[in-house]
Amino acid sequence: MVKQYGFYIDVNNCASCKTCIAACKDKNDTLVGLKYRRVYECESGTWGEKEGVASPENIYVYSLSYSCNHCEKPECVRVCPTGAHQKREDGITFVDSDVCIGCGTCASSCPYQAPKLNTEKQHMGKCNFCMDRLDNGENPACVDACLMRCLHFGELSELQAKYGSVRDIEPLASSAKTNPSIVITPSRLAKDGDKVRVMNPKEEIA
Amino acid sequence: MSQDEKKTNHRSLSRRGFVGALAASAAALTISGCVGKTLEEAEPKKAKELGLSGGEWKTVGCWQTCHAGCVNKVYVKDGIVLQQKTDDSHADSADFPQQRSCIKGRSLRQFVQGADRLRYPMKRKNWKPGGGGDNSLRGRDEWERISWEEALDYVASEFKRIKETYGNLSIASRILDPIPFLCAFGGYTTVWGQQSKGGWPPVAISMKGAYEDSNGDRFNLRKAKLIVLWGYNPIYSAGGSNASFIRHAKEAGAKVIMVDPWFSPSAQAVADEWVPVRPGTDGALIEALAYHMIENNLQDQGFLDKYCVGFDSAHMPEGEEKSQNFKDYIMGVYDGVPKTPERAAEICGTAPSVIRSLAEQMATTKPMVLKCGQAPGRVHNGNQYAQLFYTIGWMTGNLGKPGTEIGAADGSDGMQSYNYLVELGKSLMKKPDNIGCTLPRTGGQVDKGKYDPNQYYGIAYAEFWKAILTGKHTDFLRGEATCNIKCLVKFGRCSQINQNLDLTTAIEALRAPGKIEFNVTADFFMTPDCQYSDIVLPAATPWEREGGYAANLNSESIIFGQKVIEPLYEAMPDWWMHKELCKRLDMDYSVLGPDNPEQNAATQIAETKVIKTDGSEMEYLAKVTEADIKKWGILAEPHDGRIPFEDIAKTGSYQVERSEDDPYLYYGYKDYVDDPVANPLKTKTGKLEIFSRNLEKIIKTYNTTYVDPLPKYVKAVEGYEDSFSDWNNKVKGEYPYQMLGIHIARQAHSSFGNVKSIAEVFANNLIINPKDAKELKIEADDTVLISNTHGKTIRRVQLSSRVMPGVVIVGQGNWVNLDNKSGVDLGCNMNTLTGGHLSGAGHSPYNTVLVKIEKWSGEQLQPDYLLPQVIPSV
Repeated sequence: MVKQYGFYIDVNNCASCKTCIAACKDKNDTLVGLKYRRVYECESGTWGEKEGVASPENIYVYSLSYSCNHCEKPECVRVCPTGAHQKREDGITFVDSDVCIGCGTCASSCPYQAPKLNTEKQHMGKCNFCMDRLDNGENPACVDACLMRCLHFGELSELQAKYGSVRDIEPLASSAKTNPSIVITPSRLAKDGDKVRVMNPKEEIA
Repeated sequence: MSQDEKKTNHRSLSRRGFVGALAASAAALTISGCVGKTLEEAEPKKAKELGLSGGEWKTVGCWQTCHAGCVNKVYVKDGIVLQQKTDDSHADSADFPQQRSCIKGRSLRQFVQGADRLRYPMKRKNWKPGGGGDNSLRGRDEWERISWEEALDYVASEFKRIKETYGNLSIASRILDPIPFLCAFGGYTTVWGQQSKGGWPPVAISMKGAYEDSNGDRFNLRKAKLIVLWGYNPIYSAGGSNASFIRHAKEAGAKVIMVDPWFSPSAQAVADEWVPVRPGTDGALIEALAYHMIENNLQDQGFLDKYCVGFDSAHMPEGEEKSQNFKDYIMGVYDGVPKTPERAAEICGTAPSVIRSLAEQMATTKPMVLKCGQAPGRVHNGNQYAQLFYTIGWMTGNLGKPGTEIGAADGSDGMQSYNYLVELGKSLMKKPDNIGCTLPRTGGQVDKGKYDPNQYYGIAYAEFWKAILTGKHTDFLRGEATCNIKCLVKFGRCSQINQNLDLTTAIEALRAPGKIEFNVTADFFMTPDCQYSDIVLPAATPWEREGGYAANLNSESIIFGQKVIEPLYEAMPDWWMHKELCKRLDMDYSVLGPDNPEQNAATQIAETKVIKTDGSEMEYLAKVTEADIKKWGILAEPHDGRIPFEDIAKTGSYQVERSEDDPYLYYGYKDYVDDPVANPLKTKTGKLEIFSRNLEKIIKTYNTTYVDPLPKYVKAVEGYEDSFSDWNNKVKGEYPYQMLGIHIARQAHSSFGNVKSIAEVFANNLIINPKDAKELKIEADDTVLISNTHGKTIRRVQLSSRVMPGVVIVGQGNWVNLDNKSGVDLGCNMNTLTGGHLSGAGHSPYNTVLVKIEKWSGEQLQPDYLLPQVIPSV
């Protein structure tokens, strides 16, 4: 591998505007119901009582925009029966739509539910890092769309040098299995041991 | 469900699906030389893959009512927009940020090219001109396709007939923008009061002399050590990059405290602390903040003594009782009721120690920016909150110095400076006076005391629908008056039915026999306004109009959007409709504007002024040549400027480059604070008036509620206190929950309410605290009935602790979808539940709503994105 591209996701400053999803859907021209990028909205805390008044106890919310994590050890590439899932020299994983038969094996093995069946085109689809844009010297569509400037991309080692090495965050699956190429800044309000709930209606994160 | 609604599956939303869904429709007709083009014609030419070759990128307008305004660019090929992007005219940085567009702007191609666009002029089958027809069928009748000639003839002859039979004032419109051709036709009844700004403007004008001058520069935020944002969620309400400016201020060292009934999406991004407060009780919280400051002598007494009147007995305006001062009121010197945090907590739901902590931080951290959204003033008795807000701000002395601001999102988006660094040239379109009925918007002439006692000012927003039914309304100046509304008109972007108070009464009024004889709407979609109309006119969007679109995006940038596609089907621009109607009404269109309105945008760009780089004065932005004038039809003289006109036309936008040390920094009230004697304010005393007799006088003019010149918390009708049947024993009444209709990122009011690709990721369920849900035996995704004395509606629920117990939240703007049998609104439009209470200067108290919530026993709702679009039947 010459290099490995990755995403930096600044959860701390994300305001959940979901413009990244719109940019992704527009770029990939997906039908309503099909999203290659999603935003989890997670909350912590409860309401207790303080001085006789119902009061928030450690209540906060954070949002996590995520797509395919372009793992170092991608399950999709490993399990794909046709070789449609591939990993480029720059670490980007993508689906060769001419080869994909839409069997969905990748979808059931990916810990991040990244591959989705594109019913219109009858093959699997997922974030391919906007590799056509990248090859053209442009940024991924989601990165250029971000209103709070929370999504960035680059070579993973550079992202890690700049932003640290956190890549595990609720509710994403553990990074241990596939080595996802992401770096995350968690919410400033989060503390170790906080119990976090995903609160999106399920269709928002389908 | 009305007859126009045809079930389409969600596939129909893709461009291909769109074409498929429309395949059965006839080819477009043409009229007056304007060629309509259907997407079917262009579709086969579409590139097979999105290789994006052969087409071109163009800058387009986003004209929605969020007021953020952003740069959107579209890739257009063979008359179809295939893809979008946002501002890429320069590299993005905090100092010089791209004007990035929100999810709505990024979904404009689904909006403009939607399968649900209106296609042809239509007539309601059972409506008859001349006052005939069955009104009760409005909203459930069938539609007939008619030609533009027929449609315009119907509209013109009805206007003429109604004017002759009942007089001009029987024609009414409640949209904000005046309808120039109807003004020239002799006028029409309009509305007074306030939709958006709540109780703020008359208070600001009387207490500080002006309304829209508080907003500091975004660079000023970076100089603050503390930023307190009150009821303010810019990521939802303003979009664009506005919320990122708070992030930059944090990075420069500011602490951010959010005061709100919910931990909002903006809070999750920027808040260091969250102070919960119940809707409409903010005033009680502020009284307690003041108490703590006074008790501990934390107020900026020097500032109060020098710049304010009314704070204490030594500084009362001349001729006023010494006892009427704010300090003694707060401490309970005369009424025996000290306004302690403990007393406030019972009302506002904020713990006393949290109140004291907030007071300490606000009083001792300088410089501080205290910013409020307009929402907390959008309540019944909202003026008192505005009074208290300014007062507590001034008590901290944070005014007129770098890093300070005491403001109420006074401008459109609240994060942009009041001081415009680039100013679009004036529109050439003329606005004749409405000779029948002037437009006394709050914040306008009346609040400044400039009104003509002999003039008629129309019907209050809050009473509009009731007035149609009863023939009576409150005429400020005169008290009760009569009216006889027979005709409703809607041209323009706001929704008459969906977005106004008392929607249940609106539908009742539209269906009442013998009341509204004619209702005409021009729109893009089969909106609720169209559904309840008699004649529907398909309007072209700014993407389909010659001459494009010119606007100030904000204080630092302008946009010059282009026409990118031909009008879909028979959609026509508003100006063309007005011109055609003028012909039929024997009026000369030239009294309204240039004969070629397409010249307007180019002329506005040509006349745009920009700040000189040394900050000294404004200069022309564009260098305009004879060739430009000829090519664009510009109605101005050639002149020199900073950059060639063609450069602006090519990029479609211009933005002033900023940096930390540029000379453009702005914060309000500098002159006054520097020298209050030389630069008095435009208040009665020339000072900041905590006690304002003038405010009491202004509100009295309106014949509504009483507003005390001394800031005091006053409970709202249908506010928190009214949710109890027995306040002392805390026994809840029939409607125990407070409901808030927030601005949501999914919609700009009713706009985008129909765009499914946004609904897919913003479900906009009713947010309810898990504690309340448990008591109600409700789980996530359940459908609930929400009701009160004004109406009934249903919605799926989302459980979240981010909202206070006792408060429920839904994004406003959902299209009403009345089930005619049960009377239940299946669409969850907030205004099903808002009453028409008149308050203050006639502002609309949208955020004062009490409801009952029950599990819905009927069919459970599907997510919005799976529901059928409202497709016109012809």
